[in-house]
Amino acid sequence: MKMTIKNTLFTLLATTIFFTSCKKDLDFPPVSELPVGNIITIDSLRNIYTAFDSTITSDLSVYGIITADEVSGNLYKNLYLQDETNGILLKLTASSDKTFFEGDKVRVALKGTIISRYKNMIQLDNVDIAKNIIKQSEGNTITPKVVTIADLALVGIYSPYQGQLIQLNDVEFMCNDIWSTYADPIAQTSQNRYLRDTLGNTIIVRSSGYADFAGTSLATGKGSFVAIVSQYNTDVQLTIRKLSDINLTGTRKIACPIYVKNFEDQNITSGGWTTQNVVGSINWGINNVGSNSTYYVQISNYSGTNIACETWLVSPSFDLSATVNPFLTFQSAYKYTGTSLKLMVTTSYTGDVTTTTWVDITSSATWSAGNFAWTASGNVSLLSYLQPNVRFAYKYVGSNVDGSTWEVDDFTIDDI
Amino acid sequence: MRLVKILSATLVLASTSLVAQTDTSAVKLKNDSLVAPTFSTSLDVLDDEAETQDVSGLLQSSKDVFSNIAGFNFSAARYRVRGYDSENFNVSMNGVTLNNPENGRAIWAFWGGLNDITRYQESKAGISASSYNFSAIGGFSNIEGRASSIRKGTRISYALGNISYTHRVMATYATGMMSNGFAVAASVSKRWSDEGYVDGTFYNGGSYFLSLEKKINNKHSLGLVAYGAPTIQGKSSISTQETYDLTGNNHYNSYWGYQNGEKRNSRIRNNHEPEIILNHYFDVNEKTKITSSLYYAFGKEGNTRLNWYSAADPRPDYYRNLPSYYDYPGGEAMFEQLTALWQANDPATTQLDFDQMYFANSKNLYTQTNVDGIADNNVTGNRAKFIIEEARRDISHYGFNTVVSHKKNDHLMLTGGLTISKYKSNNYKLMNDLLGADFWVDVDQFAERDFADSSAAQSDINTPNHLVREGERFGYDYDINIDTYSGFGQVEGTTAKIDWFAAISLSSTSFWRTGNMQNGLFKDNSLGDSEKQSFMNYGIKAGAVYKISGRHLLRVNGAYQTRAPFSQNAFVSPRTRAEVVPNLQSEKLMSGDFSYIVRYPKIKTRATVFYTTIKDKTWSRSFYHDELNTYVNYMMTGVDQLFMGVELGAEASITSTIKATAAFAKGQFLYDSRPTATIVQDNSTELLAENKTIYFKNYKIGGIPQTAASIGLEYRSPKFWFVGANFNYFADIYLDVNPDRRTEEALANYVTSDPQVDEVVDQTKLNNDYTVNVFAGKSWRIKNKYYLRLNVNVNNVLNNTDFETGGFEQLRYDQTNIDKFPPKIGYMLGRTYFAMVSFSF
Repeated sequence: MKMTIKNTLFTLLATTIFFTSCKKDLDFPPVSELPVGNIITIDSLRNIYTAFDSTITSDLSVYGIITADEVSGNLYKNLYLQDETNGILLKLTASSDKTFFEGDKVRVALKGTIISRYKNMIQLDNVDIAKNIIKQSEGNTITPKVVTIADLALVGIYSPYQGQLIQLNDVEFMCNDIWSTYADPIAQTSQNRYLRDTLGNTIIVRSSGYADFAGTSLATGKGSFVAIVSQYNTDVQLTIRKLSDINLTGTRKIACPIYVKNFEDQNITSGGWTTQNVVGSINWGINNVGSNSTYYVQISNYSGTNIACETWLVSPSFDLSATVNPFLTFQSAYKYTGTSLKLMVTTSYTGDVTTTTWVDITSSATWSAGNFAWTASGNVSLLSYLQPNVRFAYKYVGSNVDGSTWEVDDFTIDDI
Repeated sequence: MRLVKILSATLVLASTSLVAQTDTSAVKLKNDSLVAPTFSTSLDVLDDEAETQDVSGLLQSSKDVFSNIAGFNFSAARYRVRGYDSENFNVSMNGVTLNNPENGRAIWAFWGGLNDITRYQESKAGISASSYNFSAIGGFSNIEGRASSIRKGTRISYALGNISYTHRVMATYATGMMSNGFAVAASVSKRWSDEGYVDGTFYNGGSYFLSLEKKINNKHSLGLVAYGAPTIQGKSSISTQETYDLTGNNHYNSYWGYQNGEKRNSRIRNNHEPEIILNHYFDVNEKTKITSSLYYAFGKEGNTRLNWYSAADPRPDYYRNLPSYYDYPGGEAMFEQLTALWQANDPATTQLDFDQMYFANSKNLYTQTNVDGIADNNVTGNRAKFIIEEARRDISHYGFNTVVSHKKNDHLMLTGGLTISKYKSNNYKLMNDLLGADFWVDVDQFAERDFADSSAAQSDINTPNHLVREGERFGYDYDINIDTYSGFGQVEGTTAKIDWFAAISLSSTSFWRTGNMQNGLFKDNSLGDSEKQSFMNYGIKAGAVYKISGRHLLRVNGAYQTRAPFSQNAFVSPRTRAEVVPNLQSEKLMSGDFSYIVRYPKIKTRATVFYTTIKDKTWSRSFYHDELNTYVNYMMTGVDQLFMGVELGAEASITSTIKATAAFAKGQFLYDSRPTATIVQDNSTELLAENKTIYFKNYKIGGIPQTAASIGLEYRSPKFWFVGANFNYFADIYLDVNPDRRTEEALANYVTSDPQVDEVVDQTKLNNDYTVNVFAGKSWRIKNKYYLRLNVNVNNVLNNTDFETGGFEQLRYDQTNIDKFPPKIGYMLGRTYFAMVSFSF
């Protein structure tokens, strides 16, 4: 009997061990293998493009790190991918918003994508983020290649750094741009700005009006600039990823004018400008008609009929006391018969144009000959005004029988 | 379970007739407080699934050493005996099966609060002979509601707790068989709380039970039993770890919100399914007895929830309302703002905002043209953007069963029975609260958008553009009918060395759907009776106990049976149409166990190994898909499950006053096949998938501890008090897996080296954890006639609130970002108590 019990206990124990110790492997759905031979570099991928778009039909993959994402809004349905060999633009079928980010190491399954060329930019098109891009890890870095503007120049039809993340050192935005924002956030249009290096080479920086920095004023100093190299026909363009890539805080090589008002922000009063109606209610406005998307300020007293008016556009106050030989330049254009636009200056502005003592310096400037022909004013010398509180004004007068349309742009004060 | 514990305690107290009056408060604690058993229909989204507690973890058997300990100490961790679902346990009252025919589940809530009655039950675990029916592989419990069987006396009790309800009062009175041949037993109780352990929950339940018996003559007795437990309860949610971390509360409940400064729960369960049983007890002769029952159960089960139209998802834990939705470069501002609001437990952020919903409903003036399909019948009013609707299931279940038992001689007992069951449930939505709006338009917003035919969006094309007011039915309305005819026969034998039994059963089940609305998308198969699905099933089982000696026993049992698929899993979208899942077939259950039992006066042990397979199960779940704006129904056929493991239980009296107990269960509860999935959505004829192979073999059945252990000590003073404690340990708890992630399609874009592959298919194992429970009691006998008892249970006395008891992967998932819809996880309640004072005479 004792034996029976012992045997039974032993059997139970053995069964227990048998039942509970056998670890069973989890079932596994079929998954594709990726043979080493099916992994290609971005350089090889770019070289697949010959003369025609071609859809990739084999199970090839590239691995790379995403160098630019859609977070800032400067890219839309686009990502840039780079490996040790090269970089490439990925054109997505839908936005990767909240899915793929700079620093993500990914595998791009190429089957179904199209290697193509658009305006000389090699790109991988038809990339479906849900199918073609498989994240491997996050938080990787690719150090931008330090190059010069000259290095980016076309070799054959391509910039040798097309699609890659680069860094330029000792560059600054050109003075013409420096009073502008990176793009036009109101009309949400892309705009070109120009960077210049110490040798005088320039390159386009093109930013989208949808970028979250579109409305930010350009960095004014000199320094390093990290961006992606893209191309549009023969134009090599830089694409900003994010503002923190721009480190232009040093002293410029080429100093810019004291002041520029170019109305590109579509705002008359920004920077302290005011308008005043002395007669009637006709006012200055922003326009870009006939000007190829460059904005200017405009006034006309014609609205079905001519309306009598006197309207002033008054500049902010300038302190010219430290300048040597200051001068004013601007552009003007006009059409239709009427009283000429007047350029006035004062050093004792009261806040009311009618009680201020103005000096008429209209004759110091060259004015448009009419028919909306833009005309540079030439240098209007301000040597007589080496003092604080200098203000300028454009005085527009219209009557109820006639009136010109006047346009003014690029109001610039500079010093030599 | 606890019965024996206190039972033995009270035996020491007084060796008189106290036994039958011993208090089973612990049992009650389990049965009606941990609860919340809603019936989890496939209508319910999985959120509800996880809070369902049904009978399987609670099965008690006053004679079995393992079940005693497990039943009392393991159920808070959602332990299920042998890993079985509730459908594998038969629960009956006076021989009338209480498991619901639609899903096989027995839910304690329907007879909650009747603990003074339900304590009179006969229970057996595992495969065994039953004198009531063919039983089930997990065992059975029969509640004895016969008036003459209920101990004579009066019992009044008051209990104070902090789980679902705060207060319980209960009174029970039984006459026993009186000299006039009548016996009467009655019990009433009320349980209530303004707020339970979990925020925003409340409880208001009543229970009644009346049993009459008339002894007509020495051969015939008639009995009548009527009982019910109307209960209204505010439910609690199960949510993602993020919400728990943010609120610092592992019992965060997303279901409630403020309305005019008062807490309101959007998910209210409102049940009342009374049952009436008429019994006939016929003692044909000394050897033969016939017990027959006519029964009728009816009533309602309602579950409310929010619904919304043309509005943002108002649920606070909806993934887009959580900080993690903004956890990407560029989203920092929103991420930080939401994180701060959540961490501050700002109720407008972490809870529903009823005031906002009322406001939105009051500003939505809308003109519905051609109301009810009547041309130019135009009605203008505030169209509801948000509503509270109630999913109703009203049942009507009647039947008859009869059991004949014949004692051939001292060595042979024959039993046989027949049952007829006619079940019908009416399922529909009821407009519970328009939240201040004037009406809700009964159209499907998705169908409305996607189909040129405007009638496609109509819930009922016979009253198109119907404006729903409070108290009206809408959305869907259908009946499920189930007819069952079954019989069983059993023979039990006893010899000096061997006790044995064998039984067979045969049954016929047919079910069909009756549509009461003609849905615009399914004009041809939504209205009227569907085709009948019929199944013939059988079962055989046998067992033997070999008595090595009176102290040492070997027991072996085996069973094989087939079971008709449950109608709840059979229809792909019963709300809208009569279509059943392809390849609907009967389940096949095969089970065996082997036990070694030792019975000494001071030591009792049982060791069991078991092995069970259930093949060809049909599995269905529904979940709300916010982008499709509808319920998606995920169905699998050919689901095989494997349950194997060991159970060890031991009880030893160390001294005359100190007893030690130990229980250990280790199992492997696995999926054992590659099922086929069909995926449909409620509001489209298009299949989302069919014949999809699920690579499911060897995945663990989730949400339950596969390993559990307990050791306990109790001291029973000769001075009529006792105190004890148990330490319980749980391991091998897995998340329930989403089948759709275990498919070739889910991995289609990946190669073996991609990190997503393992992320998608691996099964998450939760932490092993433990609890400590303590209990104490004292009783007084007054004037040899009155008994006053005090019992206190404190569970999870160390207040371990980090115990993950289970959870599930959401069925919705984003292939490119598995973490987008993270799993939902439930935690064990912290320290809870239940104290009761009772007075009986």
